[in-house]
Amino acid sequence: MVHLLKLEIRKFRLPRKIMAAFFAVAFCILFITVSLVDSMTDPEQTKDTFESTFLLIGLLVSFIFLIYSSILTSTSVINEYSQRTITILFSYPLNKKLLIVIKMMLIMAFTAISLLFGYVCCCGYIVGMDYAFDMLEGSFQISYLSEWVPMAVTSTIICGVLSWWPFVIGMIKKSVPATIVTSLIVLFVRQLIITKNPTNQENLFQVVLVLIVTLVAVMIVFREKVTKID
Amino acid sequence: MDYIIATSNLTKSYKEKVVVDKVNLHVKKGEIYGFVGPNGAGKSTIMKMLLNLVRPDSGEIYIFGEKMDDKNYECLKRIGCIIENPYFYEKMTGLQNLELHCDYMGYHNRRRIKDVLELVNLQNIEGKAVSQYSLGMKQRLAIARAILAKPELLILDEPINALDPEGIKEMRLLFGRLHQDYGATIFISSHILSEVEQIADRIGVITGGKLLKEISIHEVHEYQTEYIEINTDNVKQAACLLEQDKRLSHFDVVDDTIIRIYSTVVSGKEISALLVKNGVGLESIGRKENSLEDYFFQLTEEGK
Repeated sequence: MVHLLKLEIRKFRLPRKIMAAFFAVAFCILFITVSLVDSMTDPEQTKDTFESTFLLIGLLVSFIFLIYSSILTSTSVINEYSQRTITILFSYPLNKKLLIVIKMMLIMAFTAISLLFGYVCCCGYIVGMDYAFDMLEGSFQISYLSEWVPMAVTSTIICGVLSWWPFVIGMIKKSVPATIVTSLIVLFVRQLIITKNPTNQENLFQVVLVLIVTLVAVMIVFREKVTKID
Repeated sequence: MDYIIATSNLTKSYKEKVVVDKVNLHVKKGEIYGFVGPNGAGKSTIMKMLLNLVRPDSGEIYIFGEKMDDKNYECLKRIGCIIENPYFYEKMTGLQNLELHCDYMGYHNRRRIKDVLELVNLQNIEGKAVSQYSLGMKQRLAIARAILAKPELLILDEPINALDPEGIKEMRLLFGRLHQDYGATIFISSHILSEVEQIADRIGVITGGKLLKEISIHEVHEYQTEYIEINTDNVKQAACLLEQDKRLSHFDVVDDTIIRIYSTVVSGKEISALLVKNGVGLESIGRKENSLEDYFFQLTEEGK
């Protein structure tokens, strides 16, 4: 398994993916900067608060990295099926299901780490910018972290779990566009659900429910679709 | 008997259409087995089942004497293959694709990559991305990949597709060498019957998912008798003349215009003189030979 993991990491071309994640975080920071500068310079607008900016960060990073993870799923897994290179991979002396699990775990871990990194960078950036230029309403309090950290962790877990849905639909359709469109639908549905919650975040029941439903869907796909290459 | 591949009542259906029907294959150790059949006969499906890529509905597969199933994938280390088309990671170079193959196969002799690239005449272009390769080059690279880890068994699905005549000859010689030098067993499917005839020790003829016959190439050669074929406008009268005047019985009326005479006691000259003398119109007459192709068509016709 370790050998397989090393091979997949090599095939994953990690340096390129890390570079792309940096660009994605830079894009988030740019977006936040534009938003903050706009609210500072427009006299008709009130300054953003730390709370609203943190919600914006959560929305941005989960949006960007869920789509990014669906692209990774397409290139690393679905493409193998649609371009038939899977016939070569499956003719090697290895456990087929384990191979796909490793690929997906790698994508999930990468998505989760990138998301956390995005949170840390963006939150660090707004704290630093506020300290330097007083861009936000009020000043940063350490107590914010007691709220932000659990929210960021929950969001990371949920996005890690949701990153399996493009895989599920992509495997059923064996199609790259279907994989990417699924990530957009997942994001849309998630946003619909969490905006109805007072905390703008999934509650424990919703987290568990998403986990169970995703697990069942993934297991069905593994049983019915993963090893079939007719 | 020491069989490298043996199947027992191997069956597979897709959407209620039986594509492989109770196939009992027997490939002996060290032989080159030619698997011939028309498109859609079930050759590729059987090859995929041998590699555990497709699960049979019923029946059993034994590779190297061991039963093949989802859990038994270690034997794949001893097999090299080409299935369907030559698939590669197109953005990677030929060399990177072969290195990746070595890694997955657990084969660590990297010097061998250079050797196999030379064997298939792809030296000096291994640094090019595969997407820039022609189909023939990809086919050569696929052959290089299949033989890279010195497999005991080669399963090759139409390996000479897309090769030019020179390439086909090179590959034929290469397969012969692999067979001789390493004692590799080669299970090869092809539409080009004349090529299979030149390299195979035994052939299996399949059509409509059914394996019609497994026969050694020596037996096929025994079948390859010479005959005189006449093309006439009056088959009935010609047949009467052959029977009555020449006392011939060993001939076939193929259709309304063609008769094949398998006797060696009469010459074409004598027959044409006889027919012309009796006013039977003669379009053509010539000496011919039954080939593997004729044998194949005869078998597939019988199988219908």
